[in-house]
Amino acid sequence: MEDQKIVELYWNRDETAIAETKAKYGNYCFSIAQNILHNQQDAEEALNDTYLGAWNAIPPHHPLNLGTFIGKITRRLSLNIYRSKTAEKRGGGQIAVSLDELDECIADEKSLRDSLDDQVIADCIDEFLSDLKESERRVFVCRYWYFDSIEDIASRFRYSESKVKMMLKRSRDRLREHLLKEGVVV
Amino acid sequence: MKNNKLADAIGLIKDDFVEEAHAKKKFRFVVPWALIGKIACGAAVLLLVINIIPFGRKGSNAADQYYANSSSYEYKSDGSTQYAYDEEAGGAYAGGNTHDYRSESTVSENKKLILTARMNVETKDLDELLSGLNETINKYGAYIQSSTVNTSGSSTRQYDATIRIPSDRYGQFLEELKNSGNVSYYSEETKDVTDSYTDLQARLKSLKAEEEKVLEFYDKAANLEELMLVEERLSEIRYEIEYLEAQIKNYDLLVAYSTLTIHVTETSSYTQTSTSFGERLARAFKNGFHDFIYTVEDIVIDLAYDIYGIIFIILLVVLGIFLYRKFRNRKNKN
Repeated sequence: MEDQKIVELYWNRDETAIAETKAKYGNYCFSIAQNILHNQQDAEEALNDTYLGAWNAIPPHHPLNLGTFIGKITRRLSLNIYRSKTAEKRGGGQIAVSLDELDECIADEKSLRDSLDDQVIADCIDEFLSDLKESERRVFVCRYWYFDSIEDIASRFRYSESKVKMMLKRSRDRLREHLLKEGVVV
Repeated sequence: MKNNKLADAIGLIKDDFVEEAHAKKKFRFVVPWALIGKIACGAAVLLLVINIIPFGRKGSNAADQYYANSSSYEYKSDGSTQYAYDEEAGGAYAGGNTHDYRSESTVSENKKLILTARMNVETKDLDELLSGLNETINKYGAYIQSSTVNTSGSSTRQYDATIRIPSDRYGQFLEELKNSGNVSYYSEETKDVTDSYTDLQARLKSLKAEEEKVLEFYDKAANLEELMLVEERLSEIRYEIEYLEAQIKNYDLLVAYSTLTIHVTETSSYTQTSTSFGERLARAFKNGFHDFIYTVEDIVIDLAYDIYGIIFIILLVVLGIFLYRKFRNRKNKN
């Protein structure tokens, strides 16, 4: 079924919307959740919360790209579950490495301005991503949005792992400069 | 401490970026403009070179110029159809489109003129023209001194021949030949050898008179020594007489038979005579297109000759790329 028809079902409060979403984007959302949580049970929990989140978000939203919209919900909910789990038990894993890498974007003595809205920071990051080359941008988003492992990214784009690491390092350095320049990091 | 705010903000980036990152690699046909541009430039240079260098297929200006250099009387398809008359050349030819190329009555009997001419003819059917040419040759008692038909390496057939025509019938022969195709070029040269011929005849006459006197001495020779001297002189005289007679005979033959070198090109369209810029431009486009088609045909034929080699090279390149990728993937996995 087409995205817009599924969205229409949400707007009509038709519960088949969830079944259609699950059929079309279930695997996609599960892979996002699994990338972050590395636990099937937790990933399924995140997935169920995602469908509920989508049910509550549409309406008022009317997403043009339902896949990305649902994916964003899955990512946010999975991160929340990850954070609550790691608060109980500090652990490693791929997501931890990715988040550590993101920390590099903010110098030790500086911090993100808490008063800034996430969307303002996201707009700033959008601006930064627009200036990147397509290959660099794809690698960056795979790593910090989807939390793919370096190995997966290298395999996906047919790069060597060292090349992926180097691309990510350069992108992070440039992001840090951009955030400083835009006053997002103080 | 992990920076939750930055990770959350990244979660809100544009949908396009998210979609682009995990988009399956679709086969996108990208028009290789750079490659097309390079090929077009190369082809343009090649065509330019082919058109600049007179390979002889077309009635090129360079070839025409060569012929024109030795002409005193010429006809060009792209210029005037009037025939220039050169008094010094000794010819007596009428101008205009209905040319009596050589009027027998106006050529003095006493004048010894050797006529050589060159002609370029275009025809749409070479076989038909050759058939007509043979009939004309038989009809006027002419003969072919040499001929070549060239069909190799080109999409157009060409015929070259040197024809000897009885001089007194040359005008009629030419008039008939002119009707068998489109004459795109004509040049003619007449060499007056009257003085040389007369000189040869006078020398011959003188030598014959001397021969008679020497023969008288031969009969009157008193001793062997005188006889030997007379015989020696007689031998010299006879050798010179033979030499002069051969020269005179050669002149007679050259005078009696005019020489026409003809170059026939088989073409799909005749070169049109026109003078205005528009007509010339239109003709250039039309002829250029035909030449382009011929060139493309030639390239395709050349490619057909080389096709097995090309396929072999392509296979080698594909194999090389395949092995390189396989080696690189294995290296990455390690």
